[in-house]
Amino acid sequence: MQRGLPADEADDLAGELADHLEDLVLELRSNGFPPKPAERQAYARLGSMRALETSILRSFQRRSLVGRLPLLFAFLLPAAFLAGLVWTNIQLARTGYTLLLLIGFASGVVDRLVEIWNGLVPYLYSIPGSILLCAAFSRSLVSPWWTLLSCLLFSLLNTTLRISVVSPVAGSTVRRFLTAGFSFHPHPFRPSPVEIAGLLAPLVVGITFLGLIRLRRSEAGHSR
Amino acid sequence: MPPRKRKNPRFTNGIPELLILKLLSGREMYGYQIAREIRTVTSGALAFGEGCIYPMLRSLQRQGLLSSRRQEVEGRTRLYYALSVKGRDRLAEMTAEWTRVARGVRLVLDGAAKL
Repeated sequence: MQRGLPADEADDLAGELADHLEDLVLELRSNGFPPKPAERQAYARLGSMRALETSILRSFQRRSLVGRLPLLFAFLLPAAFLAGLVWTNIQLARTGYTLLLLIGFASGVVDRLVEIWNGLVPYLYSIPGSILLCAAFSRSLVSPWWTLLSCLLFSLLNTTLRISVVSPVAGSTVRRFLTAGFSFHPHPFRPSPVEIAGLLAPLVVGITFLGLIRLRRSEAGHSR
Repeated sequence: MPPRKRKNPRFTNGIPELLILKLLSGREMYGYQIAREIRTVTSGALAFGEGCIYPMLRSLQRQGLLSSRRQEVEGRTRLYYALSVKGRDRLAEMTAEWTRVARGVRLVLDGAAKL
């Protein structure tokens, strides 16, 4: 039923329709209908589900830009947004590397700092996805599955397009050292345990969120 | 294939909206109550899928003609709808319009009967 409707609105409508159906069945049964015919009659009175769906979607499309331009909002804008986030992330990672390398070069512990940074990068990449996820749940503007997909994309990006830091060699100039630090090295997919954790963490968080939200909604539905 | 017979003619568009506003002018109701009331008051003369009430209620609510509140009744959360001030104004307009149209139709039918 959702088909582009905000999740809360779809849930509310589905809840009201389910209540209506239940009330109709009760009314018909109190009028002497056996259970099965009462149910059939109740469905008939409720009307065609296809017509109802069309009516709901038309109403949504009339009032909402998201409803009128589903391709733009369900595909093009999220794709552009994701591309923007990837670019921002790369810039953030580069800035982080620059600072680390400058500090490391000055203090002589660059290898250790680079190792720590490489461990942190998976989480840096999953932050925007997690923010999107929270935004989706709090505003119910987009389907949570899109957000979950973005988390997965960010995690995969991290493991396949990771910015690799080349350790400095003795006698490097600052310029060569920094330039080497910015090179990108797509590498074969052989994730380390830390990277696997980085890959799975947003998914686990996302699926847990989804599970909790569904549980809350189903409890709310039962209490109706 | 024979043409499908319409349950209600096209010029009845807007009637469910008028009926909903009128019913809610008396007291607040939830969706099922509204559908049942329409069925009872019109003796089933206006046949439409009762489910269609809900998108209509949402639409009226978005236009600011209705307000709603949730209330727990016998362990279930009901969504009660009530008419707003703007809704009362709209009801007055629609009632006047419908009365005018009905009077016109009546005059034509009476005239046709005398022919």
